[in-house]
Amino acid sequence: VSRATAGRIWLASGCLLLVGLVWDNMAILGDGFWCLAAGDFVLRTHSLPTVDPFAFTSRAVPWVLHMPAFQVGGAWLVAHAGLRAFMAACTVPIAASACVLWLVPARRLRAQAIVLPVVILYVLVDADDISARGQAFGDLGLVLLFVAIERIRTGSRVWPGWPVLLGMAWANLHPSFLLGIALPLGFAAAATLEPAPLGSVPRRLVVFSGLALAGACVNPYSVVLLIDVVKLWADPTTAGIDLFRSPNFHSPGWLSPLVLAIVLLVLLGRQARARRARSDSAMLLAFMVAACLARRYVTMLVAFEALLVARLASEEPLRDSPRWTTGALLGFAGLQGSYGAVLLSESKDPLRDVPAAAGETIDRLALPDRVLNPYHWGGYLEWAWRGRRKVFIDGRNQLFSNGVFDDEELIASVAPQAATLLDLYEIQTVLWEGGAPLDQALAHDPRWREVHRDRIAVVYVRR
Amino acid sequence: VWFDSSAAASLLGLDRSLEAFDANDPGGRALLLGRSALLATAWWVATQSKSPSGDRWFAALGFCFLGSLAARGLGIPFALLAVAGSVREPRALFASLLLVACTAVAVVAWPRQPPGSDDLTSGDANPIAETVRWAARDNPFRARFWAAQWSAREASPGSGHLTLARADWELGHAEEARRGAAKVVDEADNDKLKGQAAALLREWELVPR
Repeated sequence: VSRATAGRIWLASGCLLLVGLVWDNMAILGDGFWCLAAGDFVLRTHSLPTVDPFAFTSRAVPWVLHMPAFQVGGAWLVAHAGLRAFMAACTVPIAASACVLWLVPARRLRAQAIVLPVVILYVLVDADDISARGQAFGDLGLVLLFVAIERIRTGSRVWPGWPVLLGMAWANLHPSFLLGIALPLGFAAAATLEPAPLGSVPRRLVVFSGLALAGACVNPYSVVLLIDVVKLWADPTTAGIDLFRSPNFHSPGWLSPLVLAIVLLVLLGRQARARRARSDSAMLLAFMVAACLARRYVTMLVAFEALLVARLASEEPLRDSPRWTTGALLGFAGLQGSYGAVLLSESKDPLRDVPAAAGETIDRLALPDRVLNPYHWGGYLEWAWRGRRKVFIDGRNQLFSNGVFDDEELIASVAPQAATLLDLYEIQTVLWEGGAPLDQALAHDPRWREVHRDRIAVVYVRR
Repeated sequence: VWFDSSAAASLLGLDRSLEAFDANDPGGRALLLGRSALLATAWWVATQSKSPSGDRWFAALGFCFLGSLAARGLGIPFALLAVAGSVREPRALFASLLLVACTAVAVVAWPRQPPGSDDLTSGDANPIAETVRWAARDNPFRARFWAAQWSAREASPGSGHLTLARADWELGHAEEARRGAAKVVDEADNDKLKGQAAALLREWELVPR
């Protein structure tokens, strides 16, 4: 086997490993299910919803689907091929984003070997949040955006239709499309920090952003979607979601991307007079700040780090490879491929993390409406009940910024006003996490009777 | 909105020094931005230096920055190290001192919500204002709760009863809504309110005999 062939086998096994890691962590959580419920609604009624049909506490404001293509496409896929196919379909874009991040910027095998651990970190740093939802496509959009920006910054040609297509696809798949408009402008602004002008680069980045904006307007709501997504981003409840809070910095896993960022800042500082070092450092620092503000942005930081590591590693002078390289490549390929195959062979239960039996029990026993549910299970219940019953809250946080979002937290933590809140919202049935503080409180409350308990959920009904 | 100077002390790491940084704490964002600006200034200072000591200082500062995320107490050593290392560049020293001062002021002045401002059991709350507030926030359940408190404080059926009837209707309690409006029609002292209640009853298809 030649070294080139061994290299190709190693690359293929690396891709298999990345796909396996994504599949291993793939699940369908609340966000995925409310997307499916919304898509079902569109397929059933052949129209876009105007007000929320799923929750009894949501604000009476126009409801805009923030990821129309993903929601309708996902519901169609589930109706024709089942939930596992939906999980597989969402595995593809996440794994593809990791593979693109690994293989496109790092041109040589040595650079690819150095970048692979960073790309594995990209997949695993927020592994708990890997799930079947629009974010999967948002991740792919972000990586493709980084690749396009990198091409513009190195003076390579980018087809003008590309930002339009990216903006259009991204806006219909996930609200993170705003990054496709904002990040090129950020890189254009950072380019002004360079000691020597970068020629047409800032202007091309601004044009890219404008074309992406034009593409993003191609959606069923046109510019209304953009305005609504900006409102979602600015909504106070968004900052209250776990995903948009600071990571736990006591965990080495969350600190490792920041450690890498500091190392990269030192390396970039050594070549501060080199082309793009200042703008790279400024953007790296901006991504660090974003990652400290919200763990959602940690993957964005790691993606940019992978690009920088790939570039620094690719700039190293070529050296002759020792003879053992071929054997080492094949050995690693065997290990990576086997591990990836083992991960891929895992059988997945799409309903593992949701209260399927408890939801069914409420229907079967015809328990009274005004069901209280936790934030992250509302999406599943909407999908399972298909409008027969309404939920208390779900992952569409902007619809619950009328105080319901905060009240759910008060009830979950059994705050002193929790009992009053249960009365105030006229809750008759409670579907909650088994073993949670609320479960323990209701178990000792004579006004409530337990009617169901399973592996993850418990159901109480008011006496 | 009120200001709590003791919270600033805790944010700067004087107590809870081993807790991790959280941007959602009051003043947390200002603290993060201030520290990041110090780090950027330090990067610029390090790149101006021709000796490797600049790199080493920046690396130490960077890891101190990370340390201050894991343990708030390291925020002050981080600021001291940043200022000490900037001494070689007068402009950077001025910028660092200015940043430290601005960050401290921003953290102290960051608006904080008074605790317990949303206590449903408090007797001090103004039910009329709360009803209006929650109706404006599009939460009919909370608006109804406060309308019930409002109506309970009325000597004779008035605006509180009428608002409660409207809230009942909105939440699907048609019978309670009709009963409440009928009570206003029968017992209210104010003719204008009686007229409004009668109009509601007509709207709800139950004209009093």
